[in-house]
Amino acid sequence: MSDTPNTELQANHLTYQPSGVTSPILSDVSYTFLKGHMTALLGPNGSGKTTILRHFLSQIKSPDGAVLIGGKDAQEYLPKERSRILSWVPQSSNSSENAFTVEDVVLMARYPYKGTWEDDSEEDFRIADEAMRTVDVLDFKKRDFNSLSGGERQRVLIARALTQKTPWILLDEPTSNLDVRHQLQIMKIVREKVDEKTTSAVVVMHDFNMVERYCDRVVLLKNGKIVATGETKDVMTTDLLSKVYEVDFDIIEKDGKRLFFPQEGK
Amino acid sequence: MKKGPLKTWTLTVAGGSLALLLVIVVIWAVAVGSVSVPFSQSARIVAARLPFVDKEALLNGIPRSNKLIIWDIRLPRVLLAGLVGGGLAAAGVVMQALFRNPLSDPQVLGISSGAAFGAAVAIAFGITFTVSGISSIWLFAFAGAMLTMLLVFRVARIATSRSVTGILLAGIACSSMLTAAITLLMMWNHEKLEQIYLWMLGSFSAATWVKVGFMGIVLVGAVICFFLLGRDLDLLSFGDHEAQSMGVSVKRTRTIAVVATSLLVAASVSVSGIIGFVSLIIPHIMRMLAGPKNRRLIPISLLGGAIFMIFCDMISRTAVPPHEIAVGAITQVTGAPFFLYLLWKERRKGEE
Repeated sequence: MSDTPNTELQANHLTYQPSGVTSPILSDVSYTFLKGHMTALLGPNGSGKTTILRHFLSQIKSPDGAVLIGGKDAQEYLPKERSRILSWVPQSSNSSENAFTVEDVVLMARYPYKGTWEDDSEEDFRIADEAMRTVDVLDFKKRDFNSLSGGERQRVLIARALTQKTPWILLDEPTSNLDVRHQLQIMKIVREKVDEKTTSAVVVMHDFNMVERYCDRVVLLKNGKIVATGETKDVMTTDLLSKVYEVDFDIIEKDGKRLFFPQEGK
Repeated sequence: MKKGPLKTWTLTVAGGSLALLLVIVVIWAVAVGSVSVPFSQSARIVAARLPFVDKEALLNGIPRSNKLIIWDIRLPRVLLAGLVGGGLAAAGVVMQALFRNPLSDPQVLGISSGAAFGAAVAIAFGITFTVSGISSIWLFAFAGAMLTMLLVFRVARIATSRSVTGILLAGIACSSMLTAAITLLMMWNHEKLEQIYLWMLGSFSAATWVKVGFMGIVLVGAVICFFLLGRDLDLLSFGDHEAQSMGVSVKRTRTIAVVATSLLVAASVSVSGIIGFVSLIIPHIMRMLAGPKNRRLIPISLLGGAIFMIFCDMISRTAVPPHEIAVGAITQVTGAPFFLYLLWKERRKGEE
């Protein structure tokens, strides 16, 4: 899968405050995302969840030594090297002005493995087909990507990330555009890939019930600071959640899983 | 390539047909003009210059004057039109990918205005000399284009880190400034107004073999760069962040592409003046044929641009003899309505 099997993602006293912003977006965030887990980044809007992902993707310049991939500063990676370790499912894709087909878009994720003049091989097509089958988009692989609905696009982006064959997948609210069936489908696929040890995942999420059901670790954030980290059952408590969200919760147990109900009026 | 062998096959046929059409248009274009040379003679005169042919047999019975007209006057002109047309079209493809905007074309970088300003300075101050086939007006135009390019990049870098918008804004600003300067030059030099104005409209009437060679070298260099970056440009159309997450070195790709495009446009404008809309419409039409992938679109656009420009230049020479219509006027007359159509289509898409 990858030439770097023990690549952990590590934030090391990461503080981020762009010039002209009064309070830091991230302050002193330290956490090591462990291999073999599906870790949720949880927190209210503006708590810095996406910003953490963007640092690992080097979309934001980080201080030296603050963001490490496999022990090496994230910024020291060439884009092509990094893209063999991290794939990214953005919240929504910038649609291209060009009429690329779904298959074209998914195949783009083979770029990290291609020489300049190399064309897509049989193997690349096979990998892309398999990924498209996994997320149920194979039927419309010849359709124009721009003509798809939000949910269909989201699934194509996940197929693209799977096609990239990376030991890590970073997902930014992957279920936000999906109906409930596809929400479950996507989370289940990612969970299965993690269980198979094919990949490890970091997921920015808002839905407690999805986190409870699929993620085994949680990083709870508020105002750019880590409030709690650990196993899902230890972090997702009424105490911590109401402190962070300033909303009270009821928790109902069913089949060994907990369901979270926010209450009105605090 | 498995993505439908049919599609690749049709594309090869389309490419082949365009190449054939280009050869026919070249021979046709050199045959017509104030002195009409029969099609068969012009074909033989052109063919006689190819390697490994029996020159004597081919040229037998063709008047010397026809050979001169075809070889020394018309052929360089036709080839230059083809090279410039192909180059502008390829530059347009790359610009549209880089700026993620179907309406961007090399003129917005201000390079064309820079070239026009350089030429206007040379004409207005009467700086006219020729060194081994290279005229001062051409030199000034090229220098003007390059200086504008450097200025635009410099300003864009200082102004903002968001390089794309920065370059576009700096280009537009420089462009209007230079156009105003050209207008002033024309007002102060009434007697040269027509000459400057004609240059701004674009023409291939001053074509020489030296210009053909120069343009050919720049075009080959730029097209090699575009091909190297073909895949990167495909990914870049999804925006910098997504492209980077899939492994594209965004900054390097942008730098190489912008510099190669600028050199190509600077060279084109310096040999022919400002010829608008080719770089805008040809990529759009060819995209319908070749699809969005840049490695396919670029060669098809090269051929399409060359055919279109040679055809327009032929009209410019032959429509109202003995006068010439500026070729830029012809490309604009055909291009502007198409531009409006694109805007209209965009708006409809927004309303849906």
